[in-house]
Parts: sequence; structure tokens; C-alpha cells
Amino acid sequence: MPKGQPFTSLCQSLYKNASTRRVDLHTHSTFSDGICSPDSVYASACKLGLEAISITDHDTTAAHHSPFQHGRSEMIVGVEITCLFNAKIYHLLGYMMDPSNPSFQAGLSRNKAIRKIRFLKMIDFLKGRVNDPSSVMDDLQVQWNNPDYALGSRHLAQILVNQKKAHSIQNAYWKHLRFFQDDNHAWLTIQEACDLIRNAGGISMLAHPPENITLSDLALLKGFGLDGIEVEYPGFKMNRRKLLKEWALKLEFCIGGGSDCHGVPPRTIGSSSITILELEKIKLRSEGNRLCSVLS
Amino acid sequence: MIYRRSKAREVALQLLYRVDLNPSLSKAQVAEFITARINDQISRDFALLLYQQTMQNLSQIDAMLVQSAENWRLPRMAAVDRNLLRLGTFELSHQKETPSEVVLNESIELAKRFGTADSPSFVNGILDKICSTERPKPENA
Repeated sequence: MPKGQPFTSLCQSLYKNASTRRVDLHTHSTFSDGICSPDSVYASACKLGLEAISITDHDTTAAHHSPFQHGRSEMIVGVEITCLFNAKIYHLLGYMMDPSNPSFQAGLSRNKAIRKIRFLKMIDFLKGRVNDPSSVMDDLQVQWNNPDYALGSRHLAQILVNQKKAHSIQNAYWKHLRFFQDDNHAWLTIQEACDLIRNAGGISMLAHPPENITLSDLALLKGFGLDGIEVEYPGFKMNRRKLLKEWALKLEFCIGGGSDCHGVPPRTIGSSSITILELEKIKLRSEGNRLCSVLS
Repeated sequence: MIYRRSKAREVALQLLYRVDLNPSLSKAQVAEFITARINDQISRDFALLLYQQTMQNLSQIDAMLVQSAENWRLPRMAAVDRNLLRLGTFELSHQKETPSEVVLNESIELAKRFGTADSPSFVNGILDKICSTERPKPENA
């Protein structure tokens, strides 16, 4: 059918109306290892026509401390907490909690302190690989001194790229940072993180469940108070998504998802997303948790 | 038109009925039941309060009902009537800020919708009796 024909335009307009409204629940801003400011992340979401977006910075909710300029997208309070389960590091997403909850912030501060220790160890590890490791701290003075920021390996990867020790962030990980062994076992446990999120009125979701996770592991996590798993994720193939969806259905988990956008293509905002219906289910679960806490 | 508090009362009645027939109802099921039926937070909280407080004071409420319902043992009553009476008795005895006329009217409306043809008059009779003991009118009125 040639372009611009009435039937084609009719089909296009029908398709446009039928396309589901999307939600991106996993993005990062400059408060952790993203390169876009919270405002520009929100502006991009509004421009793309996303129904809702969540900035889920690593171990910090600083992006949600100031209100966002009014736009058509809904901003959902979020966080991505680094935690331990079976002596391995996992990431736990939290949504809709009260960011001013003191015990929740105390938990995040604990993780941020560990991040600083790990960061120093990484700089030590990079001696001999970077031109001048001490200059790294000069570049990241703001992030180091402000307790709102969470430092991560991505900051170092960027410095390696700037110093021409690697040609891209991925390359910096491949050439240098993947050899770094994190032996810190003081991170919050996944149970502690689930409790913190729930007590702050939020719901928890396992971020990008790794390949080796089993159904029994997830059942155990459900016992800890986990509310859902991330199914829509850029790295996941169709069969992985299908399996995770099946497990989520079996364990009555909510389905989450997002682009994990740090500001660098191909993971752009909205490149991976869930439907508004899934978000409604998440909201209902959050409300259910609130009522449950009143009941107990 | 069903007002918000009326909807909350209806959901609380449904929950009381449900737990009466299935006592192993979990907290999560209760929460899910409420969230699926009521859209606003204030009404959800009100429905939960009615259900929770009625369940907490169940033995006291049942004793009051037994005293007021002459010739009627609780297990003999229809399940809807029994739970409707529990809900109404709770509101009359514990929710003093709600006018008794409102409680009676709401209970009768629910009886019309969920009970049998005889339910409205039955509920009215018993709740009226409880009302006279729980909320006695001043002598000079």
C-alpha cells in the first residue's frame, strides 16, 4: 500500500489509538551513576509521552527531594538498593515509599557509606592502570562530599574513558573494573531492604533477576516480603521474559520493568517498559500493603 | 447513588459475611478485597475500621445481640442478617459520632439489597432496641 493513502492513514491512526500507554520504572540520574539530571530525565519522559516514570538511583532518593515541574507524566518515587542474598549482591527496586522515613534513610546511609569504602578500594585497585589515581578524587569532589550522592564503579569507568584508558564505559569494565573483587559483606541483606521499603510504605521488586536465580529462591524472597520482579529489562530475551512472567504469575508477584537508562544509548528512557495496567496492579499492591499494616 | 461511606459499609458487610463463613481469611485477602472494590483511600480506611473493630469486639457485640433478639439465637439467623446486625450494633455502640438514624437507615438499605424480604423489618426491630439501650434519648426531649 503506497504511503499516505487513506487506508494507510486510517490504519496508522487506529494503531496509534490502540497502542498501550507505557511506564518506565527503572532509570538513573546524576545523584547516582546516570549522566542526566533528574529534571532532564523527567522532561524526556514527558516528551516521549510515557504515562509514568520512576528515577531509581542507587541507594539514594535525593532525586525525589525536590518537586518536579508539572508535566503530563507521573513521577513515582523509587530507589535501587544494593543488598545481599546468599552471599551474592542483588539489586532491589523500591517504589512509592516515603523518602523522608528516618529508618529508611538510615538504611540507605549505611549502604552509601559502604559505597565510599568500596570506591576507595577500587581507586587503590586501579593504581598502575590510571595515570594519576589521586586526581580521581578531585574530579568527584562534589559527589564525595555531598551525602545525597551515591558513588559507583560507573564514575570510575567514566574517568578511565576520560583518561583514554578505555574507549567506552563498557570497555572500561571489560579491560579494568571486572577484575575488581568486592569482598564487602556489610551491605543490607535483602530481607532488611524489603523490610525498610515496606515499613516506609513502599513495595519492593527484584531488579533484573540473574540467570541463576531459581523459583525456590524467589519463593524464599516472597517470604521476606518481596512484592514483584522485574520482567521487562533491556538485556532479557523473549524466553527469559516469558519464564519470569510465568514465575511471577505462580508466586502472585507484580511485574515490573524499565530501561535501566543511565543516559547512554542504547538504553534510552522508555526503551524497555511496562504497561499502565501493570502499574495499576503495583499501586493496588502498595495500597494492599498499607491496609495490611493497619490490620496487624 | 451510593455514597462513599455507604460503599464502605457494604464492603465491610461483605467482609464480615465472608469471614463468618470462612474464618481462615488472611490479612492480604482482606486488603485485596477492599482495594478491589473501593477507589478512594478515606473509604478504604473506613471499611477497614468497620471490619477490624467489629471483629475485635465480636464477643461483646454478639452478647448485645443475643440480649436484644428475643427468641432468636445467633446461629439461627440468616448469615447476612447476623452480620448486618453485628455491623449496625458496632456503629451504634462504638461510633458515637454517627447519628443513630443514619446507622439504622444504612442497615435497612443494606438489608433490602442483600437480605430476604423479611430482613429490613427484622434488622430494624433489633437495631432499634439496641439503639434505645445504647443511645437513650434525654428525658426532657
